[in-house]
Amino acid sequence: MLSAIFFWMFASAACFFAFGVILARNPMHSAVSLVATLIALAGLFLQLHAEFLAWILIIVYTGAVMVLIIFVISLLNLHREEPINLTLARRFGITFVGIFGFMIFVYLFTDSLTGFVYPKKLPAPEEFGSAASLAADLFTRYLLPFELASILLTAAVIGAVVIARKPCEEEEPKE
Amino acid sequence: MNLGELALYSIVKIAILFPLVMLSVAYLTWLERKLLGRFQQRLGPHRVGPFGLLQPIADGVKLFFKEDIIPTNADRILFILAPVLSMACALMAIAVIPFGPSFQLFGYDLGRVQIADVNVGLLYIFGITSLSVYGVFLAGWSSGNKYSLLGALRSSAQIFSYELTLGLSVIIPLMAVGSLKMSGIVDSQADGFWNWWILSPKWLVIPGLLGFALYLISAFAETNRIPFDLPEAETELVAGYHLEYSSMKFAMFFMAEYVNMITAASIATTLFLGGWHSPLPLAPFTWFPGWFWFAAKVFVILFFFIWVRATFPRFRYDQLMHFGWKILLPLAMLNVFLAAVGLLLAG
Amino acid sequence: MISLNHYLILSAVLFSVGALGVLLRRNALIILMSVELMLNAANLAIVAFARYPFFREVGLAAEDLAVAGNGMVFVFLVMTVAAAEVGVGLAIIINLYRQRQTINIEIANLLQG
Repeated sequence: MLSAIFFWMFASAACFFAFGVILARNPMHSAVSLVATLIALAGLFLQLHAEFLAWILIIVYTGAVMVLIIFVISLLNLHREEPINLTLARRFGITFVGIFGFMIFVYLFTDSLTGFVYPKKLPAPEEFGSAASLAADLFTRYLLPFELASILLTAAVIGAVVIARKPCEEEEPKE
Repeated sequence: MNLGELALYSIVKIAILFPLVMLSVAYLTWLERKLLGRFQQRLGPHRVGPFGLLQPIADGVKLFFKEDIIPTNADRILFILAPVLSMACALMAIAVIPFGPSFQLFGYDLGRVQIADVNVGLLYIFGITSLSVYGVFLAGWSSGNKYSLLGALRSSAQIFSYELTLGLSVIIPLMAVGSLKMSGIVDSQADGFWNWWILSPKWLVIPGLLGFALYLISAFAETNRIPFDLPEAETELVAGYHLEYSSMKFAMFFMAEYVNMITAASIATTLFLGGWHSPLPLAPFTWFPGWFWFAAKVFVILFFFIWVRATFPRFRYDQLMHFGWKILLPLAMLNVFLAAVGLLLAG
Repeated sequence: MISLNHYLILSAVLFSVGALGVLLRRNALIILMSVELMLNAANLAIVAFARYPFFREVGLAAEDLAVAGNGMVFVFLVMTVAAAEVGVGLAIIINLYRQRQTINIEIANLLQG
């Protein structure tokens, strides 16, 4: 009962702010909406007993990634709104996404109406979703993906620095 | 304990702790002004009440009755949201701090003086602290003032840079205890100061001391205190991110800053200084209750915060970045390594 | 009672909204944020599947929920990729702004000849 209330609360907040992200005129409002969406998602993670991931989501996404995006938004001083220019290809894409989303919705919805027995939520064991159990998986069974991810991050850091660096000034000819 | 009891107990604890925290905030401002006065060879506030003790109340009343101004250039929604966000994040972090051992009220055992003992308590605190950047940043951005914007940019870059060090510096208690629960970390430091994580692991004191020092330095940066108060540097940015705020909105930023100070000091106490445990398990020390030791340790750290404010000048911006990325962060990483080796050696 | 389907529908809705954002908007930053939204919709689906595993189909007992829970490791990897993507993406956007004084991606058409 309580979990249902929390689900609907967080789910409606996530949907509302997700639309805020793509509809807001001001990029800063989009970014703040995305932060709110992510917080709502973290709430849903908590409902799914993924405590550790919920807080990692908040720390990594809202604490680092979104701060970076907001930083760039205010650095670039973007107040002009771009005109929405719908080319034929883009209209086609939007229709496709709409149909696709609607189909998923209908499929899942009728599925639950026709009474297909979906897995029941079982009482989770104490260590489910805890830092210890995740770490045990991450550092043993999934060590290779973990190391690859760290290489990816290093590459991304170096790449970002190289790309964003001011182009080197031409050296003054020595007199 | 069923859900209803849990909710009731939590509400009782909030009802006790919230006024206490707000009162400490009010008197922390008094303490700061008084101590700064003494450090600078003057008296500090002494007109309102004995020793100026009623000064915080007078300040509060003054701020409450000031005119509330929203600039025309401001982005109204975010301008109003920002102080609320600051204050809310500052207060939320207090929820997982263990202030004292189990206590009883009217014959009911209410458990620890801790509102919620979350499984991932420490992550919770980091999550909430990382959200508090938005209060500062949105305030600066939405004011529509270039000084405010500069303050906001500085503060986000600064908090962003020092959060890494902050996260790495608390790794010793985590590695040693193997739990993110705040109560577990406190319980592991009972029976005397040699068990505190500041003197850890075992006889190798260096990782613990270094971790504590790194934590304190980055806590200064996170709370925008001197010598890291560039976001509100009066001499260059007028007042930085809260330049356009007045009345209660300004007061909320002000209070949030002090609540953040108290939180940072409480976390340092809990993680490194043994929380509410007495320094020696002997008779004269054990007479005092747990909350006394907690308050005493927090007071010492807060005194240090104020002392530093009276002593150090402000960093230059490039020095701040240089210090954060090229000195503190490598040190913090080295410390993680040292701590791991030390824990292995100590068994 | 909240079932797996509820979470999957929510995930699909968020994903579609993100995809719409990519198609609808021309501001590179908002496109980047929409992509983040899509990634997080996927994250939600992953966590939901970890919590409601198909016990009968895979033959797991209730106490093996922790085994199913290791699907959450993928959320880590998704977050890592997203963080890397944002880092590089923002660097590119800053460069674009330096060159063109705008981040409307319609303007970034040098390679179209």
